[in-house]
Amino acid sequence: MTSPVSSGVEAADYARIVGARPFASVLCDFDGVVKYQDVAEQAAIERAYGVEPGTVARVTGESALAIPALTGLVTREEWLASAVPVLAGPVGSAARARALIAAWVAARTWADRKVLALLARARARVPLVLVSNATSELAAHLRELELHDAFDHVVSSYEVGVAKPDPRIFEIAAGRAGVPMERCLFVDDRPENVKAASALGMTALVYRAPADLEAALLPLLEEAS
Amino acid sequence: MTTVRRVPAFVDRPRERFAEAAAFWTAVTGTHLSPRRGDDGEFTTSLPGSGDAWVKLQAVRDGAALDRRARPGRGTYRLTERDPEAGGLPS
Repeated sequence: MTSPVSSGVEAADYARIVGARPFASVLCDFDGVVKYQDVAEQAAIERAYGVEPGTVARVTGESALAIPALTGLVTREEWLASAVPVLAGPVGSAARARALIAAWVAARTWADRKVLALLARARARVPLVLVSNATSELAAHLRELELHDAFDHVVSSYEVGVAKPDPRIFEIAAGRAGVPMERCLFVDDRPENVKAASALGMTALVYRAPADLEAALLPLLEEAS
Repeated sequence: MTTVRRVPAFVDRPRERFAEAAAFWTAVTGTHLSPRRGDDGEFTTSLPGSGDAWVKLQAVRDGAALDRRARPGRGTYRLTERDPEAGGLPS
């Protein structure tokens, strides 16, 4: 299997040798790169309600409203409500299902400070664009995490009506940055999104850890130092 | 005083990612690949339209490394793993 990770490696090595930026904008995913939730806490909540850890994620993911919620057709609240009838049986009642979902989504949430610091340093040199498969609540969550001013542009799938890996959302993001797609660095934890960005000519990185991002951003970080 | 205008680079990449790496290097340097050389076809050179070739690529079995002759020892990356689940629902 071809790993798109190497594109980030190539870009960093290219910059080291040639001394030029291989990209003029950074496009970054949100959930799984910047934003995290406490999986252990969520698992404990699910066990307390008598269901297996991962159940709420599975049920909401399998909901017919999952894609509509990410493309602006229904709200996050409507999406979550669609899981209540499915969970009501396993947890005993609709009221308990609603309480489980409410507790599960309220589990500890945080932004990775190392990632934010790296992105802030990159932003000092090039436009930084958040590209998120998101719901109606993205703006509210950015405010809660005090990230509402952390990006030059925010491209939400909910707002634009198309979600990654649809090529159109990458085109929109590059357009917001004002640079050609082949001059963008795209960072995401999902390989299918990275593959799509790479196919459009972007330098694309499958995010696993801050060190990956630091390596890919090295051309910009070395310039800034 | 001597001015260094070009640094020969030897890019070692895992065999399974070699095509992608070669595509990147030819694209960003405006070059094309030479015919493969070596017992397993593991060597190739990124050829410019004119002037000297300065990027050579080698497909290797393990790992990925940049063998840059001018500043050695800084080109090896280890891609680490993290927890597969970020947790939660999309924002």
